[in-house]
Amino acid sequence: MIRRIRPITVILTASLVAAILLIAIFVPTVFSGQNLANLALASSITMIAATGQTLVLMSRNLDLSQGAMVMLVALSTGMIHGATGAPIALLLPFAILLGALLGAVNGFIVAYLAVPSIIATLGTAGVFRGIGFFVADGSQVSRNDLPVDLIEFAKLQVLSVPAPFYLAILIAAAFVIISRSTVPGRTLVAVGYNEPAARLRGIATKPVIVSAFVLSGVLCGAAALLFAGIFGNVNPSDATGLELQTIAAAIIGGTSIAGGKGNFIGTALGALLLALILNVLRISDIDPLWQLAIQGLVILVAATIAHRSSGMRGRVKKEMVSL
Amino acid sequence: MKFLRSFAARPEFGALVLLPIAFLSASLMSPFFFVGENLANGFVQYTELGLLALGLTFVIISGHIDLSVASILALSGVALGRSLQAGWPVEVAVLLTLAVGLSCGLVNAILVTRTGLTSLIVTLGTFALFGGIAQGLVGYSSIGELPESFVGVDRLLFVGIPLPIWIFAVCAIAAAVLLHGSVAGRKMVLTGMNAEAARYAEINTARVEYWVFALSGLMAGLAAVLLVSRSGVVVYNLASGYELTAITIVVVGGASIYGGSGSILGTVSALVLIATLQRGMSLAGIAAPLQLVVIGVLLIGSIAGQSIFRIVRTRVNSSRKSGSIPIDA
Repeated sequence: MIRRIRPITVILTASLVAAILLIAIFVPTVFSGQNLANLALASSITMIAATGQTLVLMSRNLDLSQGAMVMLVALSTGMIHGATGAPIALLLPFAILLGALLGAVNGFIVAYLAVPSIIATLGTAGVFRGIGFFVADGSQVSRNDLPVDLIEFAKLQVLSVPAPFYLAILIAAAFVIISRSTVPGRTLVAVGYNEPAARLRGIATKPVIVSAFVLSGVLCGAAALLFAGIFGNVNPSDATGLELQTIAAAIIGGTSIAGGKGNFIGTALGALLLALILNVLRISDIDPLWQLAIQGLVILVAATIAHRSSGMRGRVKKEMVSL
Repeated sequence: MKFLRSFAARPEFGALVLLPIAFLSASLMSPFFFVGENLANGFVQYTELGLLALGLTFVIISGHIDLSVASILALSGVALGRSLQAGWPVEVAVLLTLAVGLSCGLVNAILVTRTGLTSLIVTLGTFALFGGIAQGLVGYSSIGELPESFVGVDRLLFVGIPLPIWIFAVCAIAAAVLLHGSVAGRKMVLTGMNAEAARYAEINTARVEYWVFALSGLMAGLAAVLLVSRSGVVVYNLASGYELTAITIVVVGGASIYGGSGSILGTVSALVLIATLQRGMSLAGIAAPLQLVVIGVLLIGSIAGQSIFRIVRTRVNSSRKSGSIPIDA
């Protein structure tokens, strides 16, 4: 079991612990019970979406449409509930299916139309957001439009830890097991590591890539429900830049953008670290407008460190041309 | 026939064929489209995007991507606004803006060449970094009340055509000469075709990378000068989302997203095409969100078109020359 713990996980845990110690000394208010609960709640949305991003990254692709998917699913779920009063038992499968559909669109364009994922999902991000603005038609989804169960679930605490956080951890744990010891998981790793080789081994690689995107969509659907429940309102410009956070979380966590290497524990820790950084900024009175710059810096530093420590420099450089 | 076939294989073919169709349908959708003044006013708004697309053409042809162009524009714009506000002379402020754009491009280049990260991840990071710094510096307020002598470059006419269009034209011609008529341009194309082979041919690919990212940053700086002068105000989300349209323009203009082919004529025709489409849609009363959808579809469609074209051509070629192995793209 020890053998399976990766060096990057150790580095990450160590820096997380170091960060926590430093913060405990300099900004002790971060560790008040209420703030910790807020932090866990804030990280759960990113954590779930970042699990999906990790899957897509493992397939050697990238999903830049995550923010737009979360917004579109949250918005349409809220609008349907507002108009028809549909119960959560119907809204939940609706959100998941809509997420799966949006993900399938991405996957189809990438796998079957041979469009590089960055371009495909940059395009669909515009399309999904455009659809969101169009269906919202100038209005937004307010607290009254959202099912009470969703808002209650976001408030629910078990042992003073928010329920959505348990859900995020559960999802991440499930994918740790799936990616390490199931056939679909290992197939995804094989396809991401070397697609032509996987094809020669008789793996139908295109459906595998589509499934990675579909799962990203499904997880964004779940994250969208939490988003609506936690923030209590949705408008079409919401969740902009979520994909930056999820990519950052995954890269910090040691997932390689060169494919074939995903670390779901790392991604969860990465999401926590990001949430912690943002939380410290907020508490120490730094204008939230600086968050974006900090995120950019974190992405660059983390990507460089992960890249240097992974010993995959030659491989990434070589495959750079094919994006 | 031979001429036609070689024309069809050129990168700008698609955009040039679609252009008259778009022009015609825009004129049909709205009688106001083809009025001279409207035409000039309409296209003046696209000069900034055009400059970003020119810079990006070099980046994409050499096998890279620059997602940070709109953020560089925003950061240069903030530098411009702040320095004008501080009472600096216009010429100095403009030079500073160009320098900021250029430096941002060089930061991208340094990160790409030194860290070994792909340009995709680097510029995704600097997209957030540069945009975030701009956002942090301006805040929710806006920088207004810029000096009279600076505001309104689009109202200056030269031979009846607004000055920004002239500036864009000069840049486009210079870009075409650089890309198609100089050794440096050939090196960019070769690096994009096959960086490894280019290195074996004694091309300093790192230097090429410095050149293309610096050009892209400089163009974004120039675009910032024009955009701020035209709009007279700097806000934190200046030009946000421009990268999507700029990338769309370059690939609709026929540049291969994998690098190694593309042309300035293609980028310019795609710019006019997209400007025509958007102006036509606006005048016909089609809402802005739907235009976003159209741009997204156009982006994906043009690349899907490229890949399908490539797959078909490979199949046809391989069936002609029997004995060669078909490559499944």
